[in-house]
Amino acid sequence: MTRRNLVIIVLLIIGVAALCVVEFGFKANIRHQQQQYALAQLNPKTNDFNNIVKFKNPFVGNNSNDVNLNANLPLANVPHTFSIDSTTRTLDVRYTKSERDLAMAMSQFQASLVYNATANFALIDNLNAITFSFPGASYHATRAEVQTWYGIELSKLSNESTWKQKVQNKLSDLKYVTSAYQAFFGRTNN
Amino acid sequence: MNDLERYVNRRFAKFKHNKEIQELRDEVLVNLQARIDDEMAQGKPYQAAFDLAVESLGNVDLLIEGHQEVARNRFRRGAAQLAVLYSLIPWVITIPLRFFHSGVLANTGWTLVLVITGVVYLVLLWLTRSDETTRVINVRKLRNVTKVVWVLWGIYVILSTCFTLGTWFASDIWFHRSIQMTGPYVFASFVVSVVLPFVSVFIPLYFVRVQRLVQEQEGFV
Repeated sequence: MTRRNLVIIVLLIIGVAALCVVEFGFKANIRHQQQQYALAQLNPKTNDFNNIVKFKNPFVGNNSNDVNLNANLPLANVPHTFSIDSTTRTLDVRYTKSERDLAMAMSQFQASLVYNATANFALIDNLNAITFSFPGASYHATRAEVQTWYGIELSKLSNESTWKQKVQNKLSDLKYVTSAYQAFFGRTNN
Repeated sequence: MNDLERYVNRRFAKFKHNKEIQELRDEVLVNLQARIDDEMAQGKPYQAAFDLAVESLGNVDLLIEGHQEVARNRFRRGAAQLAVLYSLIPWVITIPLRFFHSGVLANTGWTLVLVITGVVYLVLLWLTRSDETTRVINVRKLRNVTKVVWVLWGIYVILSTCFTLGTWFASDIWFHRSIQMTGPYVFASFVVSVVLPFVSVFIPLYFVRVQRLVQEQEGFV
């Protein structure tokens, strides 16, 4: 009986120690890494292309795919809804916060819009135009305008090396971001 | 029906009326009658002879095959202690599986069982240390309960294994969807869901161990 009590105490100590190591060591570390990864997805310069390429789809009418794609892009943390115009094949992403409420640097905001528009055009084959609407302002871009900027068919951007080389890495250059933003949205910004 | 028959019937009333019990009852009745006759032949009055005979009978429970007397509280404490040990082992085993959803559920379940058995054990340890009354355990019944627990455990393991294999692989058969085993974590998750039900083997093992505990208690009464 006493020896069995000793075994119980030893096992209990081992169990509690193992539980602490698992919960407060390994799992806390994993949770931290996941948080860092989720945070990195909101930045156009660190967004993981492999995480969004799985949402490549021929049709803008696939609503759940549109939702999932944009849920993994920058500005995903800003509450938003979608509207699809199937006649003009236009996707309207309607954010509920104004630019001022986002408390984001202008360059970061512009880079996010450029990145998101490019991702939507590169991964949704029949998307003709996209509008990012905020209270008091909206930004509209067409496939033709974006394609002119990159100089290649947009679907050809949808592999990791091309994406990094032609889209993501260039967003570190503030001048490039401003120029791309102007080329994409300059005409329709209101 | 005389006094003795009524007395013996009353003592056997709580047992099932089967052939074995009936034979035992008859044997006890004959023996007591012989004892009374013997005492009366030595000059004792009937009531005194009757009292002496029934006193010599002792605990009827122990006359039945498969019944064993144990020290009540020592047995309770022992059974509770084993329950703590047999819930502690699967609890420790499932801690590393907390990286998976099914592992978290299983480990939390075992934690709950461990807390309950632990509290019961501690309460028994503090409250019943001095009481040394005895009780009779029906070993045969306990053996049957153990068999039933093994059968139920076997059914549970077979069903849960079929369910796990079905959820992982049947979509390939019925819906022609390819099996998704995208990496080591997914594979480990599959292995964990298959292996986890087997950890519950400590439940039937506990019943087996309690049977041994009854045998161990034999010499202590």
